[in-house]
Amino acid sequence: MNLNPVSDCEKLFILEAASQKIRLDGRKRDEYRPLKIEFGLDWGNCLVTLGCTRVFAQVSCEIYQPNNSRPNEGVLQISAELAGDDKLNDLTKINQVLERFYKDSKCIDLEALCIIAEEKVWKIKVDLSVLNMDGNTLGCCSIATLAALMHFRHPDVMSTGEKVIVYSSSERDPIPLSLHHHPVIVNFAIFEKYDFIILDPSLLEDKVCDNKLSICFNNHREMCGVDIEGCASLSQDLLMNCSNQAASMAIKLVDKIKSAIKIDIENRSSSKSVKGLEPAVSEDNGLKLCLSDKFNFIGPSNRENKIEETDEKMDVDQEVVKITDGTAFTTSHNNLQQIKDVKQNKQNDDLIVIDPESSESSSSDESVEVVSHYKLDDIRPVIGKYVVSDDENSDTGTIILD
Amino acid sequence: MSEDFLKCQLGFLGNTEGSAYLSQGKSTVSVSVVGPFEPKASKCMYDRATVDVTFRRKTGSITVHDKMLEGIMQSTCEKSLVVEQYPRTAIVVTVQEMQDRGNLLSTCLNASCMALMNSGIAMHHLYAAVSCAVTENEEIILNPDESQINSSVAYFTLVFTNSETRFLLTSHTTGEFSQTTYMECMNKCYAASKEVFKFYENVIKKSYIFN
Amino acid sequence: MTLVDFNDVVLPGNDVSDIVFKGDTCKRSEKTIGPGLKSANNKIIVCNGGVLRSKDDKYFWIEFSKKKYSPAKDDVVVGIVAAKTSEMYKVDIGASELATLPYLAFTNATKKNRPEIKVGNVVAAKVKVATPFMESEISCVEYANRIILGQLENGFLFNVSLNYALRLRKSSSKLLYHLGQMVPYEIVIGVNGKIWINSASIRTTIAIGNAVMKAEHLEEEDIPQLVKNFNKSLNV
Repeated sequence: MNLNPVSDCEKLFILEAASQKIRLDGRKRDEYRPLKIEFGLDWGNCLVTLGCTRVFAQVSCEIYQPNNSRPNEGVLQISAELAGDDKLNDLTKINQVLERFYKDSKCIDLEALCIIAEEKVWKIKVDLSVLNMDGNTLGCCSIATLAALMHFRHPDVMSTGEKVIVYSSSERDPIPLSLHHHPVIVNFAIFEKYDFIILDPSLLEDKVCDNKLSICFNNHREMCGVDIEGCASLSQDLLMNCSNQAASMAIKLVDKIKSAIKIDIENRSSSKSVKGLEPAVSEDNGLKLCLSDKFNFIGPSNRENKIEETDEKMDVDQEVVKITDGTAFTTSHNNLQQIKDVKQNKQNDDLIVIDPESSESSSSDESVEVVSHYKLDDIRPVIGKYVVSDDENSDTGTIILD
Repeated sequence: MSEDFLKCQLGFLGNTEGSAYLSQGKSTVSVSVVGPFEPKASKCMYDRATVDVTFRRKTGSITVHDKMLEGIMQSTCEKSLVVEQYPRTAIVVTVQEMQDRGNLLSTCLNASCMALMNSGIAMHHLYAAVSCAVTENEEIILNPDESQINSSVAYFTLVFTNSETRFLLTSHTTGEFSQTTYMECMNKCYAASKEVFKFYENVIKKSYIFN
Repeated sequence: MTLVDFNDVVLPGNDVSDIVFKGDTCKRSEKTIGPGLKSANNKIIVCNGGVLRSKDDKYFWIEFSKKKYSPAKDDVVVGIVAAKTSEMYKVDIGASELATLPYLAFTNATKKNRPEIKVGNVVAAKVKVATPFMESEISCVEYANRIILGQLENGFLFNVSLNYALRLRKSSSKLLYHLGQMVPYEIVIGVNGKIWINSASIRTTIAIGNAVMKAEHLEEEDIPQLVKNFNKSLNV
């Protein structure tokens, strides 16, 4: 995974936009990107897509010896890893926060995971693979963790004195984990100077903001943890305000996860062939191409006056960009339509294009023209030009480096 | 091979140069390709690119068997790429298992081929992997499901290229079999690999429609 | 093997010798193959999946979507300064490694008088040395006074695909012209897919950036419609 360094241009631009309370992708300050939760064939397996951030989670279990300090409690372990480049060790922080919030909130009934006290307990392991990072990785990880834990079922066990029998799923139905409550992390990016607080920051916003505030709430509006990263000082009011927002957001998120699980379980019980994880496919010939994810990068400006339910927005699955010209155009049309309140300062007919090459190529003669046209039409030649020679002796052709 | 046996989505990870999300039957993997980029000095080769394949299980733990699969994928990818064109760079291919219902190796190989294709890195040829199982009655089943693999006496994964001479690129076999069975399997898989190449062509045609 | 024709989609490994040498209007030695094709054993083999194109029955290449920029001489690129050493800047131009930009490679720069550029700044530069075997070198020296290179201040930077950047740079692309009819703006399109935009206000910059990105998959005929929508959205 390669992430471009943030340039000063981008930084200043984001800050300036923040001062005018504009988000680059045109979302409102408390708007989440489209969320999509898909479940696999196995229990506790899910793929969560939030905007372009993708996290894949799998819960597994094994029988384990309990800690001496807590002999009758199961063990929960959460680990997030980047699928891809390991150089960006960005995830230690996320690992810490997740472990802290999910373990300390005691959302899982660990005592129910005890098989024989002091000898055998279940160890529940949540493995998260961050496939793509596009901001709010922590929030997406927490949704994936919760969805996977809620979906997971462990095999039934019976202990007859000294013997422990583990039943396979065909013998006895596996048991879901018992969760006391459902905590989920809501992420804020804070631009202190401009008093601009945004929910679900994108990658750029995430990198530029002064403060990152992560609040963990469960579906009963109970706070399960707060994490502040950054150097800005936060007032009490601001924190209260944020936590109120986070609480209502968390309820929406948990509802979304619950309904996704409900649909999945219904599909399974209705004995239809469960498809599990697979690429989304359009009708025509079984292929769907998601054009560059960055297609929706710069969106309309902010729509403070437009009333739109965040909840509704989240039900929309990730936008599928069709390649046929007609539909491709409609998507852009819609997006542009949303730039309602863009104020225009001046209207001028000038166009200043700093294009150094245009001035040059005009002076070039005919023979060079061919090459430049050839160049412009296409991608650069990689090493040079290969000229196929007529010479029978050389079979690779001569290579002319230009 | 039924029509919706293979499903593929290209370029679904924005941060990588190339990615493919491919399902073959009920097995699903996602592959990302990063590079060519500047590697660590110890891994740098002055006349060619280093190709690194990482295979990730969904539960995070890697076994010896998985390491072997990784090696097979690595050699297959490396053979297909024009590594001389990218000296002093590294190309990293990450294969993430998402759902395993048999034929994992062939799924991973096909997905990695699509991801490399998507990344625009120069390749000598494409490759297609086909798995088959041999039952006790010497019957050959192409793309067997999990139970058929478990009851089979031998299991092959054969990889063919699409170049003019259609080389056999990789062959991975388990179990006991006679030479004639092997040749027979090879013929069957070769025929099936043509279907896979047809699928690749469809995918790529689709992606160039707008040009 | 099915016979391929020009403007067809070809796959890596396909042999296109037949079509390249077809008709022999000129000698074999006069045929030139470009990116995406290689010659091996007197055959022309495709090495990138894409569309086969030719020009004048002489030049052949594959049009494919490349993700990583590989520097070529005289390309105008936009880069981000990533590091400073005692004699040069290291600039990230989206290639496989950082390019070098000597301190003196600026117009009118001397040892005592040189532009102050910090890490994180954005520069427009021209590629001077480009081979895969060594670091590429870029320079901000302006020639003929008509070319504007150097540091880019304010504005916004975003990435588009390499193919699209090349298409935008062609004079036949009407989009930039049409947008310019609506609002004044400055734009630098690097061949490496990085585009820098500046205009009077944040909102117009976002809108221009948006329009430029949306236009990537549009046909040339649809662009006036896009520009009309763009204008409407600015006026509301």
